[in-house]
Amino acid sequence: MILHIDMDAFFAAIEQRDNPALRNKPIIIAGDSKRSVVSTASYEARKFGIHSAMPVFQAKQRCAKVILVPGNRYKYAAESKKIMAIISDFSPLVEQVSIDEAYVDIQGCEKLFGSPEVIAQKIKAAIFKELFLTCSIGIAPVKFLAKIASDMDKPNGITFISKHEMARVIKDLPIAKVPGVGKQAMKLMAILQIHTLGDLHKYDICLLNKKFGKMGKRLHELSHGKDLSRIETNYSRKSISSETTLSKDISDLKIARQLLLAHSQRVGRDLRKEKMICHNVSIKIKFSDFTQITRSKQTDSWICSSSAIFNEALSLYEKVVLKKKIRLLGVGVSHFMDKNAPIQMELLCPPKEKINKKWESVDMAVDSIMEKFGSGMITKASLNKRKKHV
Amino acid sequence: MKFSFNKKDIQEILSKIQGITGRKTNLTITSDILIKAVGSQISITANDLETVFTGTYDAQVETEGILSINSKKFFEIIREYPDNEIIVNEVENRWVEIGKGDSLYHIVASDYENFPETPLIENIDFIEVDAKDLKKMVAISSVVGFSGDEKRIYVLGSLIEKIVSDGQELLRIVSTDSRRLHCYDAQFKGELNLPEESVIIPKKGLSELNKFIDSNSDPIQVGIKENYFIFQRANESVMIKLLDGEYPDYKPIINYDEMIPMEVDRNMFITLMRRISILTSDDYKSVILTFKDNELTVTITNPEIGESKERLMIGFSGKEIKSAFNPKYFMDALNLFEDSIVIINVKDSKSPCIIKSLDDDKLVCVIMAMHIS
Repeated sequence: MILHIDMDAFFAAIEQRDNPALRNKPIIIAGDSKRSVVSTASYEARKFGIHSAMPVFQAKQRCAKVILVPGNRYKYAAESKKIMAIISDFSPLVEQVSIDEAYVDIQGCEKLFGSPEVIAQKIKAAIFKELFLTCSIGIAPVKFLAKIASDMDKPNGITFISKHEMARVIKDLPIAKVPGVGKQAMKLMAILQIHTLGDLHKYDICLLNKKFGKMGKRLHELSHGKDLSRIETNYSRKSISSETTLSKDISDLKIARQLLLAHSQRVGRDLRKEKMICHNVSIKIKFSDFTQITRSKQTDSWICSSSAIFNEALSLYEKVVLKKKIRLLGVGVSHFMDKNAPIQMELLCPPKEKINKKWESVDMAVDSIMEKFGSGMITKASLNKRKKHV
Repeated sequence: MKFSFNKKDIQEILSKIQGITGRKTNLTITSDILIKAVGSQISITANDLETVFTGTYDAQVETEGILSINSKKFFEIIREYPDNEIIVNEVENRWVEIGKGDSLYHIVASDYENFPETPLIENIDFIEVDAKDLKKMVAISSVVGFSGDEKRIYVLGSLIEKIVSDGQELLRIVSTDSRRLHCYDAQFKGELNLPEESVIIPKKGLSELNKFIDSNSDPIQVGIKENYFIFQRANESVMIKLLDGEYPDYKPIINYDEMIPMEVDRNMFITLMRRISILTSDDYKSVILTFKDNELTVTITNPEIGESKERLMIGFSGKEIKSAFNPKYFMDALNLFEDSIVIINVKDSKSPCIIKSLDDDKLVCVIMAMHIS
């Protein structure tokens, strides 16, 4: 049996727990600019129709009394760690999928802790006792149904889909709820008259393959209650990125440079924290008209210093022909390798790489200063004045 | 123009120049060959703006003329043509007829005026190099390849320079991709005047040259003049445009003075490396060489596949040395030698391994270690 544990209004719940003044009130976690979007809304706020990813101004229109709380991602990450530690007490097979979500395979743990429902109750109780936070748990024989189940009784619920109930649930499950089915797929679904996952049985796998590509095979399997994806315990990140929606649209290279630098710093820091080096740098630009582009390039060598990431990001940025103002700017890195894995050394070391190596040690020193004294203690001189733009 | 020739005289050369005309350049006409019919001969030219081939061959010329025609199509027609005698006839402006009777082809030729100009280089002071040596030089150059987006001149090209060793002038070629570096010295006859101390020849051009060198043939004439490396043999010549750029100072890299030398059986070492490299994969290319008390242990641990261990007796004493390498580089380097025993020189985990012959320094291969933490 697979459990899917999903924290209830995670960021909002933490803030309400830590500040009694916020309890039982509609609050949203979001940036303080009027163009920010809601990252989490408390259940009180959700009653007004406020949901994640909604622009803050819209949220305020829905509920004038909504309290805006700036987020603190370090605090949430720390809480998340504690939650994962609690879950790990119940089974070694834990796959964390995001900051507030995890899958647990409890096969073979029943003798120790009881039936799946009992285990779910125990996990909920442990999290509540230690952290005063609630979660919703879905239990199902396969991963994707567990995720769907956890969403069925929210907040603070447990939903159990047994093996016998699977067929019935699949038959009536709205196709839009199936993970991976997005807007594009929904258009096709409408044409094919597919409304529930069970409706897929009407079609042959060949046709599904043709219409949906790779997704077709998976949908076919899901509709028969088969989910081949396993619990991936040693979850490793495939990419790291950082981006911001700007308080006002920009076109100035100087500001863009600073933003790229700030994001490169953040991405570099995360990368080094993971003890990884990367081989690919990308940038993401969203324009004032909401069109979006990404540009990426392979780096000449493996890098992890923030300045090397910045240089690559900047060269990508400079190649983009800007016709519109920029609304969002982000930097990402991917194609990772373990920093300690053997790397071919160079006989003829180009000067650029020597500089990169030097920056790497500077960055590591900066990282440890931040680790010890807080992230505001040290920053690039040019970023000191940055605050007004972000 | 109209001429006829023997299929066997031309087919082989057309095949050899496909590499030049097959390369993508900024000009589409570089996929053509230029055929000139004069007197009792035709000359064939291929030019990819970097490497230029010219050869003259006997033919029966009825009317003289000049023609630029697609190299690949012309070659394929000639190769498949059923008869030995083949007639080429420009029936009207750029409309070329190939063959006669039952097999007849018509091809649209290009305007030969657009064909890149063939550099005219005269009074070249040629030196003579053994065909075998020249073949080896090309092998040294091409074994260390480069990827498609490579930009470093010293990786795209190989260095050629004149050195003096024991009072004898030698022609040296150095090839590197900055992870390994191979250096080979060849003897030559004649007087070599390089425009500069050293020149850089594109590896691509040199590998094309390889097709024209027959190891058993007589010594080959080689010259360097006016920005071209020129290779001449009887009725054929290849000119390779030199690269313009800096070549790093490689001499400290091939210096093995402060290293520990060891003799190894070349064949045993190659087969060992071949076996151990079975367990390498894209993400795990390194094997660890441990030198300790007359023993070399080579191990690989690939978390994706498994691990293996090989052992070889070797004349080594002193402090243990542990160093990681890419075994493919060893195989490449060792295959360049012909000796049954070679010397490998090592120092520490951060230094390269230098392979050379037992007797001389004619061929020196340097392989940089991999960093292990």
